Amino acid sequence: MDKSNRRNQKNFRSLLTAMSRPGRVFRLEAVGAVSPLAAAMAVGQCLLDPEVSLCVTGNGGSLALQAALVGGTQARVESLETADFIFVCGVQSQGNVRLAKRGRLESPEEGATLVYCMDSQPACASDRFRIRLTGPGIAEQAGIAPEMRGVPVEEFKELMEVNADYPLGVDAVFLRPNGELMALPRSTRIHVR
Amino acid sequence: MGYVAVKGGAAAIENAEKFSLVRRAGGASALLKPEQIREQLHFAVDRVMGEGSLYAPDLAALAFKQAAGDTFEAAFILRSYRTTLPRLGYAEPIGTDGMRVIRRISAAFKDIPGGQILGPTPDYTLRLLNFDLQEESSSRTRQQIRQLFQDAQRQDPLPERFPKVVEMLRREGLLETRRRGSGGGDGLVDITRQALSFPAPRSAQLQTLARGETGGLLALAYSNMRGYGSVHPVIGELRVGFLPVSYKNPLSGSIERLGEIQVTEAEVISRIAAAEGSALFSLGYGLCFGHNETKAIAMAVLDRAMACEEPAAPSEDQEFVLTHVDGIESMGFCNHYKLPHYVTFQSELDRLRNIQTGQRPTEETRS
Repeated sequence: MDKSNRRNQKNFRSLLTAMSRPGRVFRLEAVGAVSPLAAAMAVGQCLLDPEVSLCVTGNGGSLALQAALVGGTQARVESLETADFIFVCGVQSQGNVRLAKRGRLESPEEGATLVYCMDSQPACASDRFRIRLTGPGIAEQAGIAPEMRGVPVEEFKELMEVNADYPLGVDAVFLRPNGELMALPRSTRIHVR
Repeated sequence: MGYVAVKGGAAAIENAEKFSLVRRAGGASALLKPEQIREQLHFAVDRVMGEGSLYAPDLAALAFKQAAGDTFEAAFILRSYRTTLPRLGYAEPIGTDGMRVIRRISAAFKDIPGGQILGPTPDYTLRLLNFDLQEESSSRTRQQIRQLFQDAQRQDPLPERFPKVVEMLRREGLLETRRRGSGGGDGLVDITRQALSFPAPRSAQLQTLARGETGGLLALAYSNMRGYGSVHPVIGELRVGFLPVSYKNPLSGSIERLGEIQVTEAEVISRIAAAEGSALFSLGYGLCFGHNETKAIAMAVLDRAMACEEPAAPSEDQEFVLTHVDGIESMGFCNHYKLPHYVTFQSELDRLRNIQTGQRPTEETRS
């Protein structure tokens, strides 16, 4: 197995761990400051292939990210409404998360996966302690605050709304350029104070 | 109530994993290298590749080492790994008449075009323990192999292509043409993407059998051979060899050869019962990764058995066969019984005690 394959395997495992431990921060391997797209590419290489579709949205760098992901994985580009994976440049989907597909009751797995490609520094004051996360993978009965700083409360509210009809919904991953990631699968219940 | 979450015991669980390491590698002998397993335990590696449905000899050897020789576990590990891989494309269809054969026999005809090639097999060897292997001399074994290759050079080279034996029957019009769409449509389905539904198309049947567990396939096929079914198979042809795998490059559009895979292919001939139609032979087909003749023959027998219009035995009922031959599913189900069932069992226990003491059970409980 070559080096990049081995790295993809480790990163896939990190994604799995993050999905199993919602709200906690984990780290992808071998994502340095080489390129601002490196972390997003590392996730793309774990999840994308020519059989799945992709949509990149958000301001600043979305075209470059789309070109890199398509070039590296041959994933198909589709609209927000039909894409299997949605990469959001920035930390706010500007309401786009509501357009993402949430699956059908017979096939909830058809719901989209969102990858928020955040900046290095939190763009806004963190009010993460207003958020409580509970559900599978969170041992604390009272819930936990998301460990990653800089995700606005509005985005948590959007996800809360989109995932209200479990098992329909979307799975979300928040990613920083240094490889830090936090996952919020649709099974996680979000409470805003 | 089915199951309850059980808390505690995390340290014991972690220790259990560590003790497995001691069990596998705590002995005095040198640790096994995956390449030793790949080369010298090749039947096990082939079985793991077939049941794990991933052609990767190095990784199958690694999985076999990790699983300490448990083929179920090793296939499970390999199939899990398979699900993490990107699907880069689809190979071009492969004609097996272009196989680079290392073994090819027919039990239907003595003289077949191209001849019978016995190749490497223990079929004609007495099953007696070979105590010489206890202290096998590396130099003597290598000398034997060198001598074998020297002698082989004096023989005529093998032909590049061997015609299919069953083609002779087909040319004479003695073979039944399989009814198109029998078993639910002609479309090529991918069982890793679509859940099985019944009646399953033949492509789904063959895929399920090809990654079935060898012992499971054998048990069902054996039941048919012994009389719980109507297939009386004759092996038209059994081949072991290497097939070229080609791929259409999506960028250049050209067909590129990626390499070779080793497969075993079996075609069994069975007479169609009078009640089933005209006097013809019908064919059962089996193909699996690696060198696994038992599996290929059992698969071919089951393929033929499942073609029956009205199943009269379990091995002829495709739903029965296809839902029970997967080793990972069946092993997983069997082993899930080791998980705590404290609450369900306690309720059963209470119920039984109440019945024995003559009281009516207070609550209906089912697991």
